[in-house]
Amino acid sequence: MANTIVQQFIKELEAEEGATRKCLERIPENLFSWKPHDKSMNLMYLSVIVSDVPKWITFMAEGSEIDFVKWEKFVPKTTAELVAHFDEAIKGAKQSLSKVSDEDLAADFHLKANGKVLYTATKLENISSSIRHWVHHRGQLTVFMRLKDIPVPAIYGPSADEQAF
Amino acid sequence: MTEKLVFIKNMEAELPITVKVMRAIPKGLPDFKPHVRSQTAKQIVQTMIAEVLGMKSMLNGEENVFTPIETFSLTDAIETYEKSFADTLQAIRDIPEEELEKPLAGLMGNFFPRRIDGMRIFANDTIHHRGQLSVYIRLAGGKVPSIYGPSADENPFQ
Repeated sequence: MANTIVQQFIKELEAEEGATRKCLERIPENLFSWKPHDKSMNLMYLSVIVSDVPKWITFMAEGSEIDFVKWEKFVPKTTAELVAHFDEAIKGAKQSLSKVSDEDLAADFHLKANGKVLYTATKLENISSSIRHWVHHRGQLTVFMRLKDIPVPAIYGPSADEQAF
Repeated sequence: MTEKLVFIKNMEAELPITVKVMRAIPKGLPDFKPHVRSQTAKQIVQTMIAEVLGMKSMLNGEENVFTPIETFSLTDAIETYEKSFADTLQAIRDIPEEELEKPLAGLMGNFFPRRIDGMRIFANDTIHHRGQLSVYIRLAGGKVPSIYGPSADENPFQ
């Protein structure tokens, strides 16, 4: 039996959860303000995005818009707070997806900035691209980690630091 | 909407972004790597080619033996990526959905009950590596294109 799209999304979140958490729990709070280049995000900002994406998915499953201006910016003081934020976000995303059907995901979802629509697509497309967006930023995070000699976990395959997969 | 159609739509959306990012790698820096333990930019593109070819081999349920593809130059690697991607995408479009539900003999030593799950690992890994390349481009002094949203160098919403 083929998965429904909703089932598939839940499985993808489960598949990505472990490696993502392993990255986040290795981000030392004393390096939160470090950035590898003037034009880069700092390590905390990038880590917060990685921890936050499942929360975007909750909004997409349950609501009809995210307005960037109203988005509650999470500012962790410690690694533990960062990881706790991620744990809560991923749990919430899985729960909210478990309450919707593929038909529900055919509805439109809007990304806005101060009320102005920047982008509209179906909930399905928004959730799907959010998962890929999440993978993208976690990929960036692994380079930041390497530059600061933080061991990079095996993600889809072995890293130079961890062969076990 | 079926799982296969979502997969195809995602791949169609990703290809132009990936090629744009690969082309933003500063010329003359194919061997740039930000850390002694990092892969070079060219090695990353070569890994991504192997994954795209690997996805096609998985359609038949074959065990995937992962070997990065050697290319002469970065330009050559980018062209090979684009061509291989289009070829794999067409093969996925052509295969009946039920074939994707059949087992995959092996991927990195693991058995997968469904081929599409193995393919998704490689598809996501190309996104993961493209994210890494975007940091390389920044560190090597290039301009990072917009990927899913604005970068410090390009804002499609403005």
